[in-house]
Amino acid sequence: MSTKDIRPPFLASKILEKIIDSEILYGAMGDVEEQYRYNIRTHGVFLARITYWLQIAGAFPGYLKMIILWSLSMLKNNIIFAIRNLNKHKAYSFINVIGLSVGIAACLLILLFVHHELSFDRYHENAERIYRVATNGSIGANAFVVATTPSPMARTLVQDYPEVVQATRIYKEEAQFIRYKDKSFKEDKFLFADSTIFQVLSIPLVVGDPATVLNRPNTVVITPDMAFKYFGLEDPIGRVLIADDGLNYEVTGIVEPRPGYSHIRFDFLASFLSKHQSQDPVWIRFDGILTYILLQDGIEVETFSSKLAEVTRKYVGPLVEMAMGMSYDDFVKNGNDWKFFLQPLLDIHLHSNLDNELEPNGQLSTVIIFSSIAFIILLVACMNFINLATAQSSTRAMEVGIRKVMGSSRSQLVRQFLSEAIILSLIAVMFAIIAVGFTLPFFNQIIGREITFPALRIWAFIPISILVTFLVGLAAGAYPSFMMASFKPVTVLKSKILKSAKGRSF
Amino acid sequence: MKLLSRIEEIVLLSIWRLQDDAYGMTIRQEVINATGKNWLLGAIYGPLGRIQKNGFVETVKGDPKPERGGRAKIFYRLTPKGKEALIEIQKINQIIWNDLPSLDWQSES
Repeated sequence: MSTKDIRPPFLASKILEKIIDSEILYGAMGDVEEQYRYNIRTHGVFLARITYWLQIAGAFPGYLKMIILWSLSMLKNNIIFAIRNLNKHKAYSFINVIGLSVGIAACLLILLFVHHELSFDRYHENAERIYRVATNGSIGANAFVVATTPSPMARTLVQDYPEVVQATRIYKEEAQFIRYKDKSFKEDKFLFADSTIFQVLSIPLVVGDPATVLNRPNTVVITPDMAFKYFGLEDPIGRVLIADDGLNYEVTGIVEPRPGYSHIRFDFLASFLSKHQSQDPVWIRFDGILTYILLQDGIEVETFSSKLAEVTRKYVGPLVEMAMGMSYDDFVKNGNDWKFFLQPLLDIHLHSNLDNELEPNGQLSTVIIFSSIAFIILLVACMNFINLATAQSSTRAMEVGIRKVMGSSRSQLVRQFLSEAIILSLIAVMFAIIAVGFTLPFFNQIIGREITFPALRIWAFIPISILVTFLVGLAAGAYPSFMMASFKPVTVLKSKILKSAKGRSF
Repeated sequence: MKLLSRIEEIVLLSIWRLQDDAYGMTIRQEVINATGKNWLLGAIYGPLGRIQKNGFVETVKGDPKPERGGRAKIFYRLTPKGKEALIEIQKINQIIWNDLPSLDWQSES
């Protein structure tokens, strides 16, 4: 038997040494080793080792319990001291908390905006499979890239290509006056759509059946806000709104208000059948009709979008021949171009900036710039915190000295100061959240969006707030804590700290 | 005065039985013999630590031994307080066991 085998497993005995109560450590380690050698003699090295490890495993739960108990009681103690200290220096705490919370609030507002920008259209059930068909081309010197497509596009795609599960058209006109009895308002969020819109996009209805609400001309679904605006508390279903375009629209359904952010925003969604444009067979008109398609699961988009060239040749070709007097091949040969292409729904808000968009979209660069600004603001707030805490450190010097004399270790002091910083940052975060709640409406007015405070998605919000609290607390508290914890007891108790604090560069 | 727990009582009695040879290993063996259950070595230290903290036992360091990795044995010895505690628990045991109907179920039938 080699000497290596006689010794207990090195790692295991180190672990054991760590977790045994120091009072009985010496005797216990000896006993354990004697037991181990006895086991080797009676059961062999392998079993002895296993027993050794099992014993350690058995000792672990008790050890963990001890650790948790002790750190909890230390935490409680630290928190009590932190609160006392903040109470003692009220002005200091107040300035610090306000500074930090303004910084965090600004940061939160920006992050809300960024989150808002990034979350556009994500709530649609099949968002990954929804695409918008857009057109680009150049005829002579005129190049165009438009978000709109000719009217027959949607129907043709569904008929000719099994890959397209469903397609729908959305049509927008100029703002117009809508009347009901004596009430009349100018409405700019008045869209038209095919009844298939409910199969492509997720637009939940509060009242009405998605299959029937828009399948005949002169029908409209409205938001609850609009229902209240025009009909007050009356039942809106079946009432008729009169529009400037000379048509009457019967209300057939109510949509759920704001299921999520979308680049398709409307207060009124009328059946496209009401408009003659919906029957327009011409392939070279762009009347502001947008086409959205839902592809089958597992279709490769590249393959499918290359097929759109066939659509151009087959349907646009003859019209080109008619209008320009040359065949489609000649048309292309002369340097002209006409293409339909697909835009993923999720990319539209941040990446698409074509003509004839429903509304101006956001930009990815804005999102990036704003995120970095948020980060910098947070950094500046932390710097401010560090500055104040360091400036105030001399008043704590005596405390540090006494604590050290009483046997406090450096790491305990660091932990205490860090808990103070984290508590401050916790208070600051709470203030910041309240401040954001109050300023959000004004912020929305400035940026022209409808950001809501994510109170409903609170389960995602709470962990983030806690994370921010700890990050800010640690980032801001680290330097002052380590600096204060490193005061020499002898020096500070002789009150020489003021002199040495002056010498510090911070 | 707080009463000893059963396992503390067993450990204390084992130490008393072992007299000068009471250390972790032998105490464990005694406890195993007494209870007929396989006690892990670590399980002895819980009650052992408690009775030491309560002042029922004191420790004596032996000579370093190579089979213990060069460490000395830590012997446990009863203190007068420990003996008192044992005497008290013995009295209590006698009192509560005294004049009971037989527990032997066969004698009833």
